[in-house]
Amino acid sequence: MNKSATKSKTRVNGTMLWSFVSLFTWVLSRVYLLEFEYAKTLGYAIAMITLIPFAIFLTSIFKDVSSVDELERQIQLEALAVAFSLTVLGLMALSLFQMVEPLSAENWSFRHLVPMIYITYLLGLLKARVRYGISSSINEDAQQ
Amino acid sequence: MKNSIKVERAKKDMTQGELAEKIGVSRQTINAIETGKFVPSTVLALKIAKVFGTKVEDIFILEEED
Repeated sequence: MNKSATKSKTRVNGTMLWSFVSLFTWVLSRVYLLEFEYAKTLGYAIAMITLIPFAIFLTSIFKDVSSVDELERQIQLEALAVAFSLTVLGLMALSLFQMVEPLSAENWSFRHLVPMIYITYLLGLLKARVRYGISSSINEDAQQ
Repeated sequence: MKNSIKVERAKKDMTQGELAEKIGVSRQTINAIETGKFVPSTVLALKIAKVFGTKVEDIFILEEED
């Protein structure tokens, strides 16, 4: 693998790492804010701190787009398109459901869209990689 | 769109990795182009043609359905 491809792959792996860190931080903050007693100031501080890994994740994605080759750029774009469109679909559905009856925070509500964004992004990434034969081409390395 | 990258590589005894290295993309990108799963940009197509010392239209050929 050439230097630029290795660099791009490292950067993409960094983005994946930050996506998991931000998801993990979000889950931890959510559990703490729901299950424990705390002062309002501390609650807001925890909420703000949770945004930091997500902001780093976003910055990392923007850097990825400018450093990866055009196939990887296409794959990322398709993954984000899947995540964005399905999230909009979720938002539309939930806003309509809310008109029928107030949504319970314990069951399906707007905050459940956050993990859905990650899941749909990863699904989109998988779909695009399969489409362009990235997963199946790994075994061909030795033959080429 | 079909292409003759595999044939051109064979002529020059070049692996996908070596071609990828020369034009600054990943080997997976070359594989996706070669198998017709991904259509490269004009710049990339020109770079590939330059490596093989041919014209772009000799490597990338339009088909009926394109």
